[in-house]
Amino acid sequence: MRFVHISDNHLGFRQFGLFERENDFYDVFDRAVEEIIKERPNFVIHSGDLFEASRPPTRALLLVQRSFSRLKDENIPIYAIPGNHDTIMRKNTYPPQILYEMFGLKLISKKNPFYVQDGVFIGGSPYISKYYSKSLKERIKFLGERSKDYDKSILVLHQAIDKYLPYEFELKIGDLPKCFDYYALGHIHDRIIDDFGRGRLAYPGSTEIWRIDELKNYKKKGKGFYLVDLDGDIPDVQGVNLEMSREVIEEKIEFSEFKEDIGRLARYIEEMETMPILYLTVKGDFDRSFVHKKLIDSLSNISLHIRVNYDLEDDIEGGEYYKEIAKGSLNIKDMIKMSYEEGEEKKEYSTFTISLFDLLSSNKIEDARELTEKFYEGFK
Amino acid sequence: MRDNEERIIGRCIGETSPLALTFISKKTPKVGEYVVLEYGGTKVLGMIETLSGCSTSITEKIYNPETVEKIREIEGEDHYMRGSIKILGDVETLRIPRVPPSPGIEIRIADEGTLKKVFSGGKDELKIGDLITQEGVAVKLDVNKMVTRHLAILAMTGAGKSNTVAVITDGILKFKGSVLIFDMHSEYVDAEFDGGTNVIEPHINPLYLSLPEFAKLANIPGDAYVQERYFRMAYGEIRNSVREGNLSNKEFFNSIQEKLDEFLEMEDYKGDKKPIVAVKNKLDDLIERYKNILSLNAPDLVEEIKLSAANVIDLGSVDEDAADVIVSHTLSNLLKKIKRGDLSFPVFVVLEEAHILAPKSRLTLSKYWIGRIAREGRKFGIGLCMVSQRPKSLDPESLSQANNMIILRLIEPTDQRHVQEASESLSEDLLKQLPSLNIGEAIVLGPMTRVPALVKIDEFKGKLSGGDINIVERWRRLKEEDERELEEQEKEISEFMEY
Repeated sequence: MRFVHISDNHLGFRQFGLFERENDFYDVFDRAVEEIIKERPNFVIHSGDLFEASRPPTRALLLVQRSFSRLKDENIPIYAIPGNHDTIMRKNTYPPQILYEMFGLKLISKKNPFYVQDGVFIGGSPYISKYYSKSLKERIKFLGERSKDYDKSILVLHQAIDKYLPYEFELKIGDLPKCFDYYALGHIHDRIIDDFGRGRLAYPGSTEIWRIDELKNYKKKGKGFYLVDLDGDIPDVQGVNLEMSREVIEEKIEFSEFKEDIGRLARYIEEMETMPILYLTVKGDFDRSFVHKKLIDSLSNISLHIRVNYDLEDDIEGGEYYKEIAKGSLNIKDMIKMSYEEGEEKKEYSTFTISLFDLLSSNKIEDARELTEKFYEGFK
Repeated sequence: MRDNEERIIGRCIGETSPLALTFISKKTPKVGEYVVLEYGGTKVLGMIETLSGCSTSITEKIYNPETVEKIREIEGEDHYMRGSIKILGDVETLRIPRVPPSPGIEIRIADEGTLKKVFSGGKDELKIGDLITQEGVAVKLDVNKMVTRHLAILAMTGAGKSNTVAVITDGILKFKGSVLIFDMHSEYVDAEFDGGTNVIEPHINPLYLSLPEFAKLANIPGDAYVQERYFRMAYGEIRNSVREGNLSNKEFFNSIQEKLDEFLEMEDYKGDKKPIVAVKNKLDDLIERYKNILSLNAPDLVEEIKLSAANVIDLGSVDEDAADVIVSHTLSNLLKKIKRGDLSFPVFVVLEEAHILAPKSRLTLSKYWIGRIAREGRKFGIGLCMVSQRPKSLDPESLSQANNMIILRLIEPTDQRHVQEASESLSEDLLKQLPSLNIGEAIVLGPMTRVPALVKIDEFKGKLSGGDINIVERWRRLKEEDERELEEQEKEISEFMEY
């Protein structure tokens, strides 16, 4: 008895507003389905966040329809729960997963909290926010009781657990009953396999890099889905890695070695077939606009998207203000003047701003309105 | 018979003295009841201190209950009361006459009019309750004397300490006074006082702390002098640079750590790696433990104290060590500011759990300042009110400075003795009364009242959260709440999870 555990595909997510990125998420999902069919599992468990939003783009819906109907043709049923992204906790709403019931998807829901396939108990709950955690715990307890009549049992949830995400969790590790063989979890985007209860607890993670902080775990553990063999005493969990559509590069560059590093990076990228995404941090004491221009000139043609973070050693933006504050003389008017320092026409602005400040401070709203109208007349 | 008419209850017998006399009565007077006697040309007030029931025919020599029955059949109700009276003084001036009463004179129950006069607190009086023995006679305290001569409120738990504090606070607020309560159990935070409750968050600004205070907070004991040395050097240097404005606030603790790291690197301190690392660990602990109360932007607690308000420093959420630091820090600043004239109004300071803050056998930071305020406070207008349920563990020095006492039910003999040692005016006989007091009943002593009184303390009208909780009720309620909450969640979930 083998099954596939997959989660967090976030289909329809258009990162940085780029079509290319939306496609990346579709492509990797396509490859995942291809791989699943190759593996010939008895069933598939999907632990939520199939889509990025509860009303996904039609392309995403269509892609899933095609994929699931292929799985249906291959006689591979899918057990799925909605995650926090693809549900809205509001009246008269349905998660998009419900569309695929006729393509072999079995929705684990409030009405159907569990299914039994070939003697395996598959129970779970759609994502429930922390606000309703009492109800969630009650639900899990109930599933634990019901699962005891079966030889093998799987718990499917889309929740964060304190042990793995200490600050934003809905469940504590002790809230889970120990009687399941496999805990098929979703929500956390890193890959996690842990021993728990009678068997194993696993987060397969996201299938594409949804946020930059997933990069570290991806480099260490890869991305994709899990293939689980239930036949042994303890389930055997095998990671199946999927190829990402493009590389995501995160680099820290010291300004002192800026030229060399950029050159090296450009040469490295030029070797690639698809354009990467760059997250760069430049550290040192330098002129921002100069560095920005350099970066754009040498890298923008060969990469899909560049995010730059400037870690300036000394002069933080607006540093002059803070120095003033530090002196202990917080004079708002001086600060206004300072911010308009350059240029003659700016003097007019600062005079206006200060008068407005004075009027509003003494609650002369009408006068302030008059002044403002007069000022803006000059721009007509 | 009208109520205020003075009833004769008996007559004086045997040998008398200017201070005490014995009497017999056929009526049933009560212990603690006030009586008047007329002799030497004045009306003198006394209090019944002891009472025993006696009979001439039913003596201790009879060993058969049937005999007693027979005697009762023949003799009827043959018994009388025998008791002693303590002379309190003439009703006008409460001066004790120089002559003893002559045997045989009438003992009358004091009427309301007389008692009301005796138990008024003068011009600025604060009503604390009614006499236990004579209902309707209000006992009023002299507020000036209560504040300047300090007060101790002692009782076992659940006897009504917090209520007493609340009644007194309420009374002081009627005079637009200022009360500062160190609220160890968050009892007064929600209390509704007349002048308003000013809840002060227990935040401390490390910049205002003295070095020993900081060291205590960091759990560096006084005898770990090497650790203290390094802490002193690092802290001193960093504190100075904060004051010069070279350091942003959030870097403060990091900077101390960095300074210590520097020491670790230095050749000179090579042999002291261990203590330096110990200080570093303790600082990490300190931040972890007290991150909620330490803030470099916190205002000075003393400046938060308002006139005409109950100022409550909520210490319910901090541990004893932190409470000690906060109390000592506040008291020392309070004394300093009042002495310098930076704070212009007198403050009545209530110390809950005084035995923790000023314990008998341990040294705490607060103990020193409590002692100093107890000694010097009255000159500058700081009154102390020490509240404790364990007088025997309370520092006797501080306790003896409290000339006024309100003692509620107190059963433990060591506690009683301790109280008696600290107070000049608590007689052996009154002491014997302590275990028999009911909840809310108290012995009131000291310059704030003209004569010692057994008082039924008023009930505070606003709510207090310190009373005993009904455990069973709470369990039941929590269970019900739990079920109701679950039901509500289920209902809402079924609404948006129709699938």
